[in-house]
Amino acid sequence: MSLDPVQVMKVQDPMPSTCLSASNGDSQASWDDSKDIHENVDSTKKPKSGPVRRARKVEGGIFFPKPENAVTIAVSSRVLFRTEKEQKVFEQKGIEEYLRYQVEHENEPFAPGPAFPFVKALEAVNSRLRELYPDSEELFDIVLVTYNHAHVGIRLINTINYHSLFIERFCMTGGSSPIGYLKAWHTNLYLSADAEKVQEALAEGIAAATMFMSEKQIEVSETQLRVAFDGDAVLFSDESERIFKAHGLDKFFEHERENENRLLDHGPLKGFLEVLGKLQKKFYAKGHRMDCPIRTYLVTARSAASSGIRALKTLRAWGLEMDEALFLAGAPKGPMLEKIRPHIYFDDQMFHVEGAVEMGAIAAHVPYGIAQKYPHKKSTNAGK
Amino acid sequence: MAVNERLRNLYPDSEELFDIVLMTNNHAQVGVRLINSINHYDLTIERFCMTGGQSPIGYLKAYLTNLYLSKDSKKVQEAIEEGIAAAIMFKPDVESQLSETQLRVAFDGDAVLFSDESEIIVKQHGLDTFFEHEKQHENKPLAQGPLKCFLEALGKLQKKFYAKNERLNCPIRTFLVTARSAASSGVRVLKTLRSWGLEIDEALFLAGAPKGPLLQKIRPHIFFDDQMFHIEGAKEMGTIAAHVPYGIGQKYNKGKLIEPEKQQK
Repeated sequence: MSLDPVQVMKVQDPMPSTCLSASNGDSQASWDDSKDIHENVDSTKKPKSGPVRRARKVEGGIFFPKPENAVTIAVSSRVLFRTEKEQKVFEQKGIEEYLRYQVEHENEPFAPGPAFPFVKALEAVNSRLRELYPDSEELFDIVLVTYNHAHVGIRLINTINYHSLFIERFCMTGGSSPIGYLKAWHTNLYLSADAEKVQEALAEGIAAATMFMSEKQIEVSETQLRVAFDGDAVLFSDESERIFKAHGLDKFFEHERENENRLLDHGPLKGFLEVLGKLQKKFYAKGHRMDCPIRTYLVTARSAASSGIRALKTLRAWGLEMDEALFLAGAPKGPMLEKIRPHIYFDDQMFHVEGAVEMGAIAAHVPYGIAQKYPHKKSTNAGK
Repeated sequence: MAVNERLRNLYPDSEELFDIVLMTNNHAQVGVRLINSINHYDLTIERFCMTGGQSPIGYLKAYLTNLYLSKDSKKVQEAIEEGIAAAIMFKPDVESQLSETQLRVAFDGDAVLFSDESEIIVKQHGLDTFFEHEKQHENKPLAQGPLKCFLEALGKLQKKFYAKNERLNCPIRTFLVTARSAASSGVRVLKTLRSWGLEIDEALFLAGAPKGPLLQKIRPHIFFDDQMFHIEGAKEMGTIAAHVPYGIGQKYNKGKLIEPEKQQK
């Protein structure tokens, strides 16, 4: 089968010449104008009728890349939007009542959830990529993967259109586990509110993390995607953590120095950093290193002189670049993250994730490695 | 048949079960071998129609057939024209394990559950016009397609299980696997299903992504689609696929209009 499945939907006409700015920005401006016009489209049964939205323009650019070529990010509906009220209805009153509630409130869009700024930033990067490489399929592709039934689908679609997101691929599994589908979508990253599902995904070799909603939210950039990673048990394996937890700091330093030139094993999010790096290189190739819309950060509790070399040498051996590296030697990560303002920060220890969320940074927990068995005491000041 | 057992457990006096009828062009003499095979595999097929060369289409109506499966495309087309849900079956290239306790049926959207009106717009005017059109007609239900009644019949049986509180381990599961995009054209599909009072368990909006890998994960006992391109993709990955020869998709092979001469198969 040599044909691109996307072409089945496209017509064989010559590309119309008026599709110049197929960018979302164009249609968004006119959408804002028509937002005030409320048109009643058969709204006798529904409580509120939303404005009629202009359809998005998708010709004149790649908007539906093949999953194996794109960087596929699977998000669950609970992290993309805030659904706490609906969750409570489900837990307290059962599924039939939950479905009825959702259908009743169909035209009320959800509020943005923890993954929302991340997804918005991905789209910003996509527009830049399309400008520079109009025929490339190496873009971010966002798939909504949710336990919900098809009934809730309409509310989700209404919300997506209300916020002007571009999420066209859905997987509504009506109660079955979505993990099987993740592999079929060539998922590069899976974000969910459910720790169990995230653990299943990690066990299948898919980079995954649990996200949490915080009350405080710091502002993040709309033009530059910023992703921050912890080092051990996120980018690297947890071998060093094990030594530290079992034998203490000094042993850890000794071990790191002895094994300076031996690479660390890779961790669950190394693959994701790799694909980010690949996209970054596309910008560098066109001379955009200084204003690259993707920026990566390493925020690690490691100490630079005593254990930093091994981390840096490992990254170099993998051919991966990190834009900024912060070695904290045990200092709290929260204030640093507040300054960085990442769209997402991955860490394996709940202690750090909670600290970040308290300061309003968007953090995601990667439930991997030995740290899951040792809840960190907040008062400890021992660093690595 | 596994579903029939569960139904009989819950509703011992109901006649709302699956009934399988063997329809064949064969002569009565071949009947013995067929019966022997049926018994060998422990199937419960008690109704036969051996037409000895005549077309079985007339009998389909007499049997109030809800779904007709055959390898012969002409007969299937005749059946569809008569308003009976029908499809041409294909054997997959690779074997895959299927559930023995849960019947899983997957459907394409346009030109299978729904009419091909939207496909016509895409093929003739392109994606952007299609999205505009779908947004404008968001609240107008699509016309029905050839397999809508079969989904209805499945839904009726499903409701019998829900009524006895078996929603979570219902032995019938339906899937919608469509190349449509969710945010731009998905609402109309979901609203249409709702207006028909039909529920579908899982809905996958692919926005043009290949169906093969996802079907491989779903493992349906049968997957209905109107475009041979998708049927072939499904077959390659081990899914049992059935072609529904309906609508404008038949004139296009992989997105290109087939020349009229080649259309006569």
